[in-house]
Amino acid sequence: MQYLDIMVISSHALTITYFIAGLLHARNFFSQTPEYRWLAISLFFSVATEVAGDILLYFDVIPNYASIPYHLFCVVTFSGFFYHAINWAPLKKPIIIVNVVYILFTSVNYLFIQKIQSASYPQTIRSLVIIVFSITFFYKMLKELPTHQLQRDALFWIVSGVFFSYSGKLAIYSVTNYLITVQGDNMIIIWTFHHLLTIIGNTFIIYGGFLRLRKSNSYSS
Amino acid sequence: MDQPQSVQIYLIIAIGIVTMLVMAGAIIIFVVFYQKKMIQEQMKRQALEFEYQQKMLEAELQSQESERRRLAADLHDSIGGMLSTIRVGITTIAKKLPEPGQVDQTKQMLDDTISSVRRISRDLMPSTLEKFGLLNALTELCERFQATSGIVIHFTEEGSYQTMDKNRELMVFRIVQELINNAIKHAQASEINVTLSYQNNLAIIVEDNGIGFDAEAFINDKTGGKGLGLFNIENRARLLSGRVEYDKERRKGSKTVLTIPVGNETIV
Repeated sequence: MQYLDIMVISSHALTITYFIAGLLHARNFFSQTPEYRWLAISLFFSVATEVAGDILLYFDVIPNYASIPYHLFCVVTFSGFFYHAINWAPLKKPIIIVNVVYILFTSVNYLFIQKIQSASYPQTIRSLVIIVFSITFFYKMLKELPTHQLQRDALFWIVSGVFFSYSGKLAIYSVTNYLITVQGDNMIIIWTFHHLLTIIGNTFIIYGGFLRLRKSNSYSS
Repeated sequence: MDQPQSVQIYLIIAIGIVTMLVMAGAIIIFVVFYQKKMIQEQMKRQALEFEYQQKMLEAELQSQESERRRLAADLHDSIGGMLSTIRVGITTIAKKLPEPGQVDQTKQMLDDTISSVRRISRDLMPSTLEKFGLLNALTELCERFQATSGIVIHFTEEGSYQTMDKNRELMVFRIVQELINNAIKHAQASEINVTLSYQNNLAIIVEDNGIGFDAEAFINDKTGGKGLGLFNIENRARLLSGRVEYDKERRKGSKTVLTIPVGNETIV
């Protein structure tokens, strides 16, 4: 089996985990709390991007085009999720500023800096933003102690998954530009790493979904 | 990219990824353990606060009881004694009067006053409780309330009651006293049933056929002081490690159940 095959398989596996996680968290979409709605939106946004990338590839078009909307707006969906999960009103203003700056920078990056070839700079910034959000969530959790059993809290697992996955991805994104432009790397192995990290993160998110499912079932029975 | 250099770069990236993952994992593990530690500390603090509140409450109730005991003794021994002496004096003077019947009304008033003093003294500190225990004290309490209010009060005993610590018995007595008092004063009842059931727990049920009441509204009423009696009942029950339940489903009258675990001698 070639490296390319492994990357393609991991890419499909990644899409499947996004889809399962999305389905689990989109249950009773309109009656659930906003953080889960934002999470479901974010997960289906990822599924749509992956599927669109595959379609473009099928028609021999560079799949990078499919990820432009994702790179522009995925911080918005994550911000929505974290803003409601952290539930701390003073965060609203900094989050809006971060989003505006991120979208502007990503647009400038697409138009003038890295262009369509890569979006590693915005991805690096996105990883840092998500890591900061996750640490803020953990800090707030330690300060307020909202639950006695952390291992049964779906949000804890979801944020841990996102935090874990984006910590690893930060290492990848920060060297992507160097690998492409200086080393001329084809990125197959690196993207396989990336997919594996995302699958690990999604597994945590899926587990969080199961915890929520179990909780809602125990309430209804 | 030549082979050895690319392997070296991939290795560096792999080390970078692993380092980041280890750091993230360490943060998550730290959060889990620190959260557990914080919760333990929070629970310890809450337990200490609860213990302190219990002790304050106990001290308050004890000082209340000792003040009642002192007042009861003063009323009975001092004022009661003086009134009895006055009565003897009046009887002696009356014998010397040409018409002894002239002081009959005064003597009657004095008798009533002596009875009132005795009743107040007994209410303040039931001597029956100290001498003959809770069952007799409750029986006497019901008889006394029936005699003064005209309301029919039944007292029933189920199971064989085993005596408790005197302070605990006094608290139970005060609770029943307050509940009957409430039924007489506010419930417009014509019949009150008091049941003492002694099985796995000690349960005391006070029910009446009056107009009923909303216990929660009374307890939450901070302005009128209506809920003070119920608040005292709840506090005493808490000190007895027991609980008070008000039957909300009842359409007519009210029913209050006090349950106390047997053998739990936590209070002084």
